[in-house]
Amino acid sequence: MELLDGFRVVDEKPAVYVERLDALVVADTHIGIEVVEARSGTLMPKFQLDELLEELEAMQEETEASTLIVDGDVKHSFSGKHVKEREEVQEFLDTVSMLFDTVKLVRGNHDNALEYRVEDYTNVELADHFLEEDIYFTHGDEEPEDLGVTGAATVVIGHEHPAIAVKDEVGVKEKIACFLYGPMGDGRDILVLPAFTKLAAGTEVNEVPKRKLLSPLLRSIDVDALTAVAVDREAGVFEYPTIGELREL
Amino acid sequence: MASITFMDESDASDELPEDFEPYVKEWFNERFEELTPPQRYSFDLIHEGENSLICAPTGSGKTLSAFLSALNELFMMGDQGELEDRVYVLYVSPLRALNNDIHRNLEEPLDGIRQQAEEMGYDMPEVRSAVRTGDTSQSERSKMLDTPPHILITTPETLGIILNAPKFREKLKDVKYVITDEIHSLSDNKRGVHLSLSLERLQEMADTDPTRIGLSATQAPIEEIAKYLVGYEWRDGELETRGCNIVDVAASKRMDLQVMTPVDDLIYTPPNETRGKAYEMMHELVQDHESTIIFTNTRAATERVVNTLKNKYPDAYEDNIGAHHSSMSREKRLEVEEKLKNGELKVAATSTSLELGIDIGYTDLVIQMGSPKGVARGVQRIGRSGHKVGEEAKGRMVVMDRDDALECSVLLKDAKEDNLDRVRMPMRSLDVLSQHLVGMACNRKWPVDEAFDVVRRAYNYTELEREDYDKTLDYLAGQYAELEDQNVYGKIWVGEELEEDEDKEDADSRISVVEAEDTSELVFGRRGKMTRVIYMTNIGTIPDESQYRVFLRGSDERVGSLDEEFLDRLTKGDVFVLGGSTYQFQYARGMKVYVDSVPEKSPTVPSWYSEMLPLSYDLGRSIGRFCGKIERQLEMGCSEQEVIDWMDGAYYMDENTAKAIFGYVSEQYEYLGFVPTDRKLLVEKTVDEDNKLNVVFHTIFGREVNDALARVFAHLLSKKVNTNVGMVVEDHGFVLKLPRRPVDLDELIADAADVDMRETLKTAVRKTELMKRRFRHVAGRALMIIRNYKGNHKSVGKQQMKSHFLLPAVEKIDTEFPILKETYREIMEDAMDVEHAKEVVEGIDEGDIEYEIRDTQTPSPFAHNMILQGQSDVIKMEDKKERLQQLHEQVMERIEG
Repeated sequence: MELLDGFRVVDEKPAVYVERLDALVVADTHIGIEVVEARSGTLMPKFQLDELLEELEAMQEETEASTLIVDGDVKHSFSGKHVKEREEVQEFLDTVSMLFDTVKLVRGNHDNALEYRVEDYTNVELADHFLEEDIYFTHGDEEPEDLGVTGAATVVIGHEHPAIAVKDEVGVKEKIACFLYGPMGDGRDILVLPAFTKLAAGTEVNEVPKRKLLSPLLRSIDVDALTAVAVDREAGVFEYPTIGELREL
Repeated sequence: MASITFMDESDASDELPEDFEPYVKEWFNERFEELTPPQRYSFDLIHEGENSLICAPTGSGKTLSAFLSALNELFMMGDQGELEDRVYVLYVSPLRALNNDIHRNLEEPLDGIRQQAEEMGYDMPEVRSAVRTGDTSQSERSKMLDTPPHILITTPETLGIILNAPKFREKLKDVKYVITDEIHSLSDNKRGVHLSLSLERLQEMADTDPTRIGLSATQAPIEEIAKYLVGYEWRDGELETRGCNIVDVAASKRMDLQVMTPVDDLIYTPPNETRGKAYEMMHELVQDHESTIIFTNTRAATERVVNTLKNKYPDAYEDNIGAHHSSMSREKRLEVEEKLKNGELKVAATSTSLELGIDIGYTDLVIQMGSPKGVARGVQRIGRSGHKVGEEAKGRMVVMDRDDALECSVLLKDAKEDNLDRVRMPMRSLDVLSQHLVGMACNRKWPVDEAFDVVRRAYNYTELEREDYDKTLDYLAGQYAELEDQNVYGKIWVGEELEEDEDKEDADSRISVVEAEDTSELVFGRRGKMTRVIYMTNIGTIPDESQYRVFLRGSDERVGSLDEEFLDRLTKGDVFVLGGSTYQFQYARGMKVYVDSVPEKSPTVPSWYSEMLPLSYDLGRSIGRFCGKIERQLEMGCSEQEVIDWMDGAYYMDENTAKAIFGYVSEQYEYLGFVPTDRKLLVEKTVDEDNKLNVVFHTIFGREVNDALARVFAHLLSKKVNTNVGMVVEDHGFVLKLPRRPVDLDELIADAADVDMRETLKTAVRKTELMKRRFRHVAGRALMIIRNYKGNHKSVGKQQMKSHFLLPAVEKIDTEFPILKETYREIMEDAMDVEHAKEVVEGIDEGDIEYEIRDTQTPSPFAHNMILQGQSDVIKMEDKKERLQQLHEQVMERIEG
């Protein structure tokens, strides 16, 4: 399935492939979340990293992408102090730097001290944002006025962990992660990526009032005009109408 | 061989034991004319060191029944100079309020006996008692360590902590008597499970073999409660009960009972009028008595009763009326208790909090609003009246709908005939086990096999599977985590020998108890210093209940709070009652719930759902049998008057009630030609206003059985018709709701008999909110989600979110992972009643229970209440792809269509 112009949903996963950049794009991987949980007294067994790497490898094989872009919140803890998390990030970088020719990491609000991990890899870049051709990759946690970029036709963000909540005729409520895409209202388009991690909650964008959204950028635009494409690893991809129309239901 | 023995009249004695100390005899005989019924047995039994379970009504000198022989012993020791600064009597009760009462009630005998002894020339030291609970301050605790009480009064949770208090626990090594009060309120839940293991740990630690004494309201099956009280011991490699004598004099309390219906027509009288008349009725009853307790089934109803009586009869009620329930502040409750004791209250309204034995002074009437849902509960509540020894208890049940009329009438008959509903006790709970294993490891190193034997002595664990025990140890040792993470995840270590180094913080040996071929050399102990702190700050079995704060949307004005179970049921647009006003649910974010005020709308969701008591299975069957009896009379052509006369003669009800019941049952009979009973079920197909098919199963087996049945049937049906299925679970049956499709119900019922009930139920609950919530509770008890950690308390919302992600992760490790296994067990065996549900399905399969399927245009009278209830839960199609596809199609249709 294609979103906007040239963004293809990969293999029913919360990821897109951008043909003109030959890049696989994911957001919010939150590596090391289990370690942080354990430190706060929740004994969460670790599976995430293994599964993440397996999925990335499979998607690389499918798309043959040369570049991987992670659109922020690569890792989970706000500090850089967790030894275990550092080891996990290192394992992640070891693998992706071999799987892809180039790896571009957008710095998210969780990614403090990530620069020290990246230093050792020649093909891994870390920046607050990347402008690739006419596509601007940024995490989405900054205020819209800080988004002083020219020349971008499309802005790609993560951060929000968007999902929709819909009810069937029996009254069963389902919450499904989703992509959001559509006009920003200023001539540019926006694409909001769902979180790649399975271990963090999402925002029910069609239920929550606009001012309660996480991303300042999303709060500043008409989120009701965005189209939702639901994605579930088990069930597939479903094209829903706009958030505004879902809100009306 | 030790056994469970019922005491009979030949075992009774009207005198104090002959070799009681003279001053004890003197003190007692001066004060009391005679021994009360339980004392006629208990003084001798306990004096001889026999384990005893005493079932006696309130106001029968129960406290002294349990304590006097122990006091005799303590004073005798004092006289002989053998009384040391140690705990000899341990008293455990579920309530702090009760602890304080007991402490106060012991003052008189403790002072009195000592005084008497001194008067008689004895040089008697003081015998001390003290209360220790979560409220006890640090300074009081250290005082207790310097001068320990001889009688320690505590709660199950605090006992768990004491067992791990390095110095204080030493003071318990000579304990001679262990008294468990209000056993019936512990034995059917995990607090009781926790206590059973604590008592075994205590016994293991002590140099003595303490006499166990239990005090209980009547409960069935009483032999099992006795076994629970005393636990088991090993004899020649076999587990055997330690033996117990049962003193059951509860039935000796006479009861004056009646069900009362305020109007002569419950159907056509406007609800407001019925309520008004009910209050009139209550008012008159209260005025005719000295002091009344009114039991309601919800906290909100308790408040309502007080307010309505006050408003309606301002001259009669002012300061002499009070409410008492668990969401009131402690101070408020204490105030009401004080007033009750002092006889300052004409009437007190309560939900469950006054059920237990705290002192309430003199009460000569209990009014029950609506059905108490169980015979034992009814007896317990009514038994709160008539406090003087030998006095009759008096109970009036005021009912306002026909289901309640039916339930209460059958209940009172069963109460009178002593047909109590049987409790179910949680067996083999792996979460409580985990907690105790950590506690045990904090005290010393344990050979794995030895600890297993100790655990199995507790009643709730005699049948613990070795494999489950081993897996629990592996879980606690962090076995499922990768090697280098053991220190993060492990709370205990498992090693091959007793090591010098106690903490073994950096243990890198990694021995799986599950995989070990020979466990005889294996030992476990505490890993790391944090473990003790985690244990001490997270002990207990009562899950944190969240209170979500409710705000008006837009204004951010706070209007109250909701619990999570209730919130789970709400979807956008639902209207519910909170603090007397109606609100429409909008959305929830974090721990905040946003609503709109909608004073003009009526509620779409009943607000009492989460505190609603379930009808017991036994009472349900009893109601079914009763319906069968009326049906037979109708078949024989009996007239209304004849049936009413029969009820009037055999049951305890007023004429309005008899009329209401006759109307109810005969309407059902006329409508379909028969009445559903315990042996004949009705399955009714009807289409509702939303054009949905409602399949109504009339199964009067109580909500816990119906919950299990409904989920299994819904799951099978969902697979058959390939849609989600909504369900309503009620005490008298359940309803499955689905889009209109042809369904073969005979085939569905046959399928239910073919499948493995437990496995199907497991699949049906796997993806539900219920599963997530219970998993959170279990993971909390088992210390997988640590609620209090490094000085921080995790909010319930946070715990719930963690469990949401933890659950799938744990499923990947092992579908039999202890915490997962326990969650399923708790849901199926404690929250639901899978065993009896199985019996019902087998009964149908074997032909013992018949069923008839009927299509109805309008639902039959028995179905009305069920149809009116909001949906309790849904069973989703198992195939997620199919489910999300159908959902997508439906949403697109709604938008485009």
